[in-house]
Amino acid sequence: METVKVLNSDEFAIELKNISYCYPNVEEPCLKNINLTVQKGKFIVLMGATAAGKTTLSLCLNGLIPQLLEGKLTGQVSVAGLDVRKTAVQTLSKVLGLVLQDPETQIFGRTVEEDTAFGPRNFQVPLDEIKQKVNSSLESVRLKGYNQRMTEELSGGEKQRLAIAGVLVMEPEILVLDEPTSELDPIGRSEIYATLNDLRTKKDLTILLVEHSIEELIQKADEVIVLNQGEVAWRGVPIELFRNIPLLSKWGIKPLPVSQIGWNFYEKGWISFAEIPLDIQAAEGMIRALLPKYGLRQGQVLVLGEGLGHTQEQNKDCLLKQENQMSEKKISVQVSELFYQYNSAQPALRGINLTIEAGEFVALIGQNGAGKTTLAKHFNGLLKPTSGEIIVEGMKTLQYDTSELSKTIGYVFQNPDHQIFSTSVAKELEFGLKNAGFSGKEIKERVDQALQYTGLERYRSVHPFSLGKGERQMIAVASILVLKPKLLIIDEPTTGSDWAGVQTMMALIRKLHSAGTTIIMISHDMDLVAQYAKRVIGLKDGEIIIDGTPQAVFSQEQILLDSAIIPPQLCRLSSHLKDILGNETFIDSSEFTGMFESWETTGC
Amino acid sequence: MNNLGTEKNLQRSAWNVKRLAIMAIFIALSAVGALIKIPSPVGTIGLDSAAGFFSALAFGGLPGAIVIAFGHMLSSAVVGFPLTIPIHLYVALQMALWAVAYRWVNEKLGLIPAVIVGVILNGVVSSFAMLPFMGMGGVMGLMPFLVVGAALNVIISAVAYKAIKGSRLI
Amino acid sequence: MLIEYLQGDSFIHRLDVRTKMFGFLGFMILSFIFQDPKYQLLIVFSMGLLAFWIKIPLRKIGKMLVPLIPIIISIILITGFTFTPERFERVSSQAILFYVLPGDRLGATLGGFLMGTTFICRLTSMMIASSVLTLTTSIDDFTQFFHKMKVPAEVSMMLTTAIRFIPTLDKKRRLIIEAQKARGTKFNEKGIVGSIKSYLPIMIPMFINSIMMANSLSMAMLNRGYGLTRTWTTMRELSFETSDYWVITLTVLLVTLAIFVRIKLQIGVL
Ligand SMILES: Nc1ncnc2c1ncn2[C@@H]1O[C@H](COP(=O)(O)OP(=O)(O)OP(=O)(O)O)[C@@H](O)[C@H]1O
Ligand SMILES: Nc1ncnc2c1ncn2[C@@H]1O[C@H](COP(=O)(O)OP(=O)(O)OP(=O)(O)O)[C@@H](O)[C@H]1O
Ligand SMILES: [Mg+2]
Ligand SMILES: [Mg+2]
Repeated sequence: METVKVLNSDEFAIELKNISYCYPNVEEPCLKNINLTVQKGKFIVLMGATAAGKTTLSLCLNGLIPQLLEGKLTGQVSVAGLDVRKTAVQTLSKVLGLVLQDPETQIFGRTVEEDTAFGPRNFQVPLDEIKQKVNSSLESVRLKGYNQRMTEELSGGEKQRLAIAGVLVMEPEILVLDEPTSELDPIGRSEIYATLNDLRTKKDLTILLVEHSIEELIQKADEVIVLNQGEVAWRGVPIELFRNIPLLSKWGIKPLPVSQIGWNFYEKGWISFAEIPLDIQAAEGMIRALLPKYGLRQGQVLVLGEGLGHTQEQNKDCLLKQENQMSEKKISVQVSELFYQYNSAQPALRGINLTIEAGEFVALIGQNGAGKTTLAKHFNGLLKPTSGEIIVEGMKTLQYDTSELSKTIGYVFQNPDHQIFSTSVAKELEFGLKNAGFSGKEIKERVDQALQYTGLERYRSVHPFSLGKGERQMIAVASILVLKPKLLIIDEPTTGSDWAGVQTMMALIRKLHSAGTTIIMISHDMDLVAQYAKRVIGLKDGEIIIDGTPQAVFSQEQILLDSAIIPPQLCRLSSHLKDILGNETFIDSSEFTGMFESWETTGC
Repeated sequence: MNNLGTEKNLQRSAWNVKRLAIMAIFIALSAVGALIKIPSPVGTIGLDSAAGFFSALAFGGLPGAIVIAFGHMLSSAVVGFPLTIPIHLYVALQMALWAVAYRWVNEKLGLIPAVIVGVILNGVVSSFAMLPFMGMGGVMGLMPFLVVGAALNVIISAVAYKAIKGSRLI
Repeated sequence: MLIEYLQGDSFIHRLDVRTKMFGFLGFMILSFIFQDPKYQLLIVFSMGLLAFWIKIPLRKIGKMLVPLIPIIISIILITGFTFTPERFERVSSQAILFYVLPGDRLGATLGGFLMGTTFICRLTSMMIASSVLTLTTSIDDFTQFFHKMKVPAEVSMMLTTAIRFIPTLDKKRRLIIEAQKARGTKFNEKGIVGSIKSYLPIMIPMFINSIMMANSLSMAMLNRGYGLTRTWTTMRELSFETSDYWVITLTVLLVTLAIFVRIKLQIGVL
């Protein structure tokens, strides 16, 4: 018995035997019969839909379950040979470091150095040693020389890396990270991944990462574990999983856009399963190889022109339908010479000029801190210009109160928990209507309508905080929709949602758009922007640097690169195929398949 | 090592940290509440004690007392102890007592009596407690201010408690 | 927010936290033993000089005083009308300026108003002094001070954490107010019921977010080893330097002198 244990602890960093866990006051167990071993030195990505139990599983690993959270845990968890039930969380933290999702609550210190030192100080490590450890762990998260910086003033990505440094300084063998990048822009995200890669190669750490998207990780991860409704649904190398599109959609995981193209060809029988591409190079190779065989006849460039004409015509059809609905174009937002300055030195917005017509679907993109939220808050009067002027739906924002503007301009914030305060979903929706001065019957009708529209009917009299985050996000949207705004601003509506949640949300937004609502969406998810928006506006340092259709914007690689925006995968693929496509940029996988002769095009 | 004993101990140690975290955050919330200024007929009123009264209902009498007392000290420290440190200490101590009483009445008689008791204690009784420092005139001058302030803070804490109790947060 | 450390390396920054606390105590004694506004003005002036010397943003302090004006005015009025002549030692202070109510009732004394002025001065100098103290002392120093004063480790941890989270919660407050404004909440409703109605949508999310924050805070603290033992490595050993001894000596001398002047010579009373 003893020898077996020693052997195990040598081989496995994490070992779960028959784990089941049930939160207090919840009947349905959250984790069911999980058996899992993780070898030392591996880089594992844990995926799965919202509420699959990913966070719960990571809490089991460092003993917060069962030591802090009550509830019923059965089975055996051992981490580096230690029994999690019998070892204090604090002691375990020297073996397994857990980085939680929100960096804000994980930073205790005033300065970076003070914060990083918090861990070792609790173990009474001598001061000199602490200094040295702090420096080396700051270096390994690429925060070298930040020692005296104020933690308050760090950017989102820096805060997240500081949170990692805070657990690294205790020199754990295993690092578990719960969605460390969900609020970061693509650059911030790739910095975190690069950091993790460094750690893994230099320090030989075992890493378990919870993530919703795999695009940048597919080459780095050794294995993917998929959780589904509290059970381990799949486990294996990432390439196996990400070629299997139906499996992904079953578990609510976002597929890679290029593999979506590959899957289409695979279904046609043109390529084998193993040939489904997972990155741009492979996709480029595949398309080049298939084009002579199945591409439309005649000279290729010409052919493509035709194929393209076809799809564009379809798009036009769609657009026409909408334009008929609102024949004369009305201006929804008119911004002229807008400057805005927070208390601090530099202006956050510098000379914005912008016209948005009624019925448009606009996406605002740009790095963290580019000024997207600052600009959007001007549209409903939450911020008033330092200089310049904004006219929204015929109203000068300077002359109206936000409460007045809120009747025609809806603003959905990123965090639904900042606004929910009622004891039931229906009451939450009524609040805005009461503020706007509606009466009993009208309120009831509108609430019913909004509940139906957002699919929240069955939660009507449920306490919002007994629902999951995805549903709460939907409540926040619904509570704005009841007001029937003409202009809807949505600030990062999909952060932290799983693929299915993103789809539902975007379908709802598209539905509103086609009903005539003007949409302004802020997002870091370029795939979504390309797929849904009709116009993309890029901001950098408080200025508009680019404005146009998604195709036009995402083909401007140099400008995007300068402002730290990574175009969606398919747009990058288009630019790799420039010699074939000419100056066209494709944003949907169906456009690529449209390049091929025997394709039955799908209607729009 | 006795397994059962250690598991219990571990849980207790973790729970102590949790209580500490809750109290720390709610003390900070008291200071932030003091920055929320509500205009009222008797002057602007801060929501500094709502967090403490809420903690008493939600987390227990002792945490409530600690939050309200330290919260008072911290929020007056933020404005530089306008009534001087000794008086603020005296007030903080009183508030701690009121928080415990508020919780106790809520458990014995229910929320509405607790609100009434809370307002009387924190509004009327607290005013008379200032008699040695300000004289009768001071007490009378202070009373409307304290009563309105107490009513706002206590009622908000009670309604919030009722609203949040239905979820699984507390 | 006042509780913000001001990065710097001035003379006051370098003093030991115990010296600063002692100095603060001395200052409090000084400001409490004198009733005469003249002396209070002197104290305000010297505190102002001190703040100016170490480049503390005095304007910020001024801004904090503004919302206190109603309280200040009511303090003057209340003291002016309620301090009866018998409470003053000087005849000049006992002089009654006028009566509010007919029949010589509720008289306003000169001393009362002077006393009110003293209160204001005391408040101002107290605010400057507390600013100097908090802006030049790091949270870590405060923690160590608590430790030296034998405050239990948990209490000082709780307080430092609370102080650390004030800005974070204040940010939450701003975000929540914005989110509710965007749904049309009005904050100018009349009366107590109106106020409660318009502030519930702020306070309930504040409580909810605080609870969630506290939950993840406790996890984060445990994750980083807090609570295993009751002590931790101190980042900087406190130590007295020559300048500390000078400041302490000076404080003792000043306070002794002041007490002598006040008790023996009866100067500075009203
Ligand atoms: N403290 C709690 N009490 C009761 N139930 C909870 C608690 N925390 C989470 N749950 C429930 O447990 C389930 C799993 O939650 P968990 O947070 O582990 O999911 P997740 O996979 O991390 O999801 P996400 O991608 O949204 O982070 C959910 O149904 C959730 O509602
Ligand atoms: N309340 C504030 N006070 C002072 N400066 C602020 C405030 N809010 C934002 N800023 C600053 O203004 C700039 C623009 O911020 P903004 O929030 O608009 O960026 P963003 O593009 O929305 O970024 P993100 O993608 O992170 O949401 C940043 O430099 C930020 O630091
Ligand atoms: Mg999670
Ligand atoms: Mg933003």
